[in-house]
Amino acid sequence: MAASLRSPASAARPLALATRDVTVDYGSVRALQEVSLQVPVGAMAALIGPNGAGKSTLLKVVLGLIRPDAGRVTLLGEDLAAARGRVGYVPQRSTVNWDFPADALDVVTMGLYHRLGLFRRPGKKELGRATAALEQVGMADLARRQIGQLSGGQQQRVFLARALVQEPDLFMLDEPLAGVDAASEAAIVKVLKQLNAAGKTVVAVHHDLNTLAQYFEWLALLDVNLLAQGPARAVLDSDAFERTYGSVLVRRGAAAGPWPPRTVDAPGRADAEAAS
Amino acid sequence: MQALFDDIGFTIVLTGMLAAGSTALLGSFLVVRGQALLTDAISHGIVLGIAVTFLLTGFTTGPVQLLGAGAAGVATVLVTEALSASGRVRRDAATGLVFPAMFALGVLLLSLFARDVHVDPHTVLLGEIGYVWLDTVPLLGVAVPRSLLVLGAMFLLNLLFVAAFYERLAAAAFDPVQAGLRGLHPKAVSAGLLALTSMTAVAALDAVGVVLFVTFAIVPAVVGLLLARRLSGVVLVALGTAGFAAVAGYWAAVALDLSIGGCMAAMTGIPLLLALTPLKRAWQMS
Amino acid sequence: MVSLLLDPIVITVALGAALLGMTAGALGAFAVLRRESLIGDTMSHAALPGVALGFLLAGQRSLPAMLAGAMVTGLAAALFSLYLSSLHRIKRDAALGVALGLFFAIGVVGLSYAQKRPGAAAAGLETFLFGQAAATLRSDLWLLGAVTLVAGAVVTLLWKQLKIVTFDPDFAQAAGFDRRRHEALLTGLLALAIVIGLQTVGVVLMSALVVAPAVAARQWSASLGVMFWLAGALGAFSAVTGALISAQVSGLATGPLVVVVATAVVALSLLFAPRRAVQLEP
Repeated sequence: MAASLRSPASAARPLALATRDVTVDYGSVRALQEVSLQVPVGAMAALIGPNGAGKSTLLKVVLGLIRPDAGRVTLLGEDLAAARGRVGYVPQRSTVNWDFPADALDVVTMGLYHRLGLFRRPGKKELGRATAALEQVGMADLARRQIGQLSGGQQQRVFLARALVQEPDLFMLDEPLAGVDAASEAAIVKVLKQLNAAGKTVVAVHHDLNTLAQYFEWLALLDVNLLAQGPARAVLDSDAFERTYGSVLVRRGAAAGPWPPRTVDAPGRADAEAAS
Repeated sequence: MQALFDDIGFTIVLTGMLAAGSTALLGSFLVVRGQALLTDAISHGIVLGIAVTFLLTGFTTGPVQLLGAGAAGVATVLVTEALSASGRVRRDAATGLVFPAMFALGVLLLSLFARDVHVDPHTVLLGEIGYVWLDTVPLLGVAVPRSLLVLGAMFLLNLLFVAAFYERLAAAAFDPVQAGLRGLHPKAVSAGLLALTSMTAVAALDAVGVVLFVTFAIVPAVVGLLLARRLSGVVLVALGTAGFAAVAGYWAAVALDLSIGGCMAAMTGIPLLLALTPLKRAWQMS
Repeated sequence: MVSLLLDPIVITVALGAALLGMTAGALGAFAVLRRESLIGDTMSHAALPGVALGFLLAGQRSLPAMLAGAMVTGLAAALFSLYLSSLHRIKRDAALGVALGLFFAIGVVGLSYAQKRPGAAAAGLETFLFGQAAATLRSDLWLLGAVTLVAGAVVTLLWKQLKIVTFDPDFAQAAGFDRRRHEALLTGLLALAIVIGLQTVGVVLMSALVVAPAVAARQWSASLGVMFWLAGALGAFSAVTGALISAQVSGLATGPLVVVVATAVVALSLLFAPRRAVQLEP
């Protein structure tokens, strides 16, 4: 049973995302074991864990991309089919064909496709909303640029805009800051915080321990099993965290904010990026 | 001895076995290295080599053709690499463009300039194993079919290559980076493998043609992968499958009056189907 | 020259080539973006037994029967390769190679069997290897036209679904689109693109006609729509050019000519299209 470190007060908050005993096997390898994640509404949450911990897998289960071998998922109090329109997904950049002929505006507009009827095409209204979303992420002037010509960070912002355009209540992001330049990182985090301040729930798979406490206030530590979840402070101070990441220094560093030299025990950025 | 080679059936079967065997031998390594479709690319690309070599030298067979084929095979790979590396064409599209283009050009040249010689597009595509016994060369006083000789030599050459570089081939198959670090020169071995594959393709062209070459290169190797645990096992099963297919194929073709080359290649499907059924599990447990 | 152009046979050949070239080229845009070039090659070679089967079942030359057979065996080969690649240690490319090699071998056997039957010569079965535009009959145009219309209608109606599933299947799925169904449809459209040109371009080279126009069009396109239409136009151009030349010169199969033209178009596009900075990715 995962150690739930929520305070009695937060235990009462309604849940944006709840999984019950989700288990996923890839052949004989167990990727997720009875994971019961519970993210409260309005949380700015990060899903963390070492390489191969199953973070992306869990995200995909939640979004219905992978069917779990056991367990159930509830989103915003409903099951996926009903809640879909209120959930925005920002996938990892690696899954997309970046040689696709499309500009940034085109990609963002695709975020509205599911709203259009079977045979309808996007029109002025959709383009307007797409443009607004691009403005929100600071990419308005690159709206007509081909996506293959954008930097990693710019592509990530386009993906975020694509999710924004749906005006969801729950955002699920898979490594949104991996391989992203400083300017894009700042822009993305700014938008996420704005969304969070407006009451939206944000759940992101995050790899950089140094920026954890700065960006997120709720954490879930995953390593095939859900080892700990709750307010950031509590998770960072937990035994589970120490056991997973070893060094106390890293723990302090993650809790306090940017910490210079990484210790030998901490997983390096390269490893984390290679992870999912 | 002469009587043996005068026996058409024997000659055809032996040719088939050598063609299938040489191909399956190299194919095992290529498949294990994830380069299965290279056989498709090379076998098509060499047709351009054959056409150009013929136009330049007038030879349709012999060592000159083998060299020309080797060059064309390597060229196919290099051009595909270059195209894919340019970033403007994805790897799979580059592959699906270069070798058909080379093949098309080769066939065109042959159609235009090699009409009366036996390297016409149809033969190139499907081979004419039924007629290999017609073209013979004297060897130690015996009239031996030329194809047989060439394929026999090719089989031996491939066998020697595999035996000599087995370590490196095996290492590179599973981890090319490691093999390079340990000084096992995977690049040189790769190049050797490619060149030999090209030459085998030319040698086998007479017998089975361009596409059936691919069948012999890949199917036996896959049967090997399904049934064997180690690389040596894979190779042995592949050779067994190839041999079986040649014999069974000839028998079926004669009995039913059908294309010999086609039957031989299709017969590789029998071991495959067997490998895919529960029989396989029984085999693995024994 | 004019009399040549007005020759009814020439018109038939040109029209047939234009239809199949346009359809194959345009549908090829999706195939190339989805990295299905090699699946296309497998389906193309695997169509051979289907052609023979169609002829045998129909008892005579019947393009609809032969192309239907081609669709069946082509798709069967794709499914078979999917199954094989799910097995331990068998990779995607080996699976495709097995399907390609085996089905084609069976096709060769089938061909040799069918050729002994009466009417086989009329069926021109051999021409399905390298293609022969001159074999296009007036009646074939109806079939080609119908297939083009149906494919066109499907793509038009489902444009945004096909686009989003091609670009980002995971996101499409999460957004509520049935990814499996649309991907199956796209593979079916690929099979259609290949089968439609088999008589004219042949099983061995048809997949190149599906791939080349799309690759060429990509060099000039900033949107999927442009790529789609341009690929169609370039496909039609390559097919018509190759078909007309081969129809005039006896002994030249159509397939190689069409592919050579299509490749030349690609080469010119690569050389002359405005530079586009691409992200280098495996």
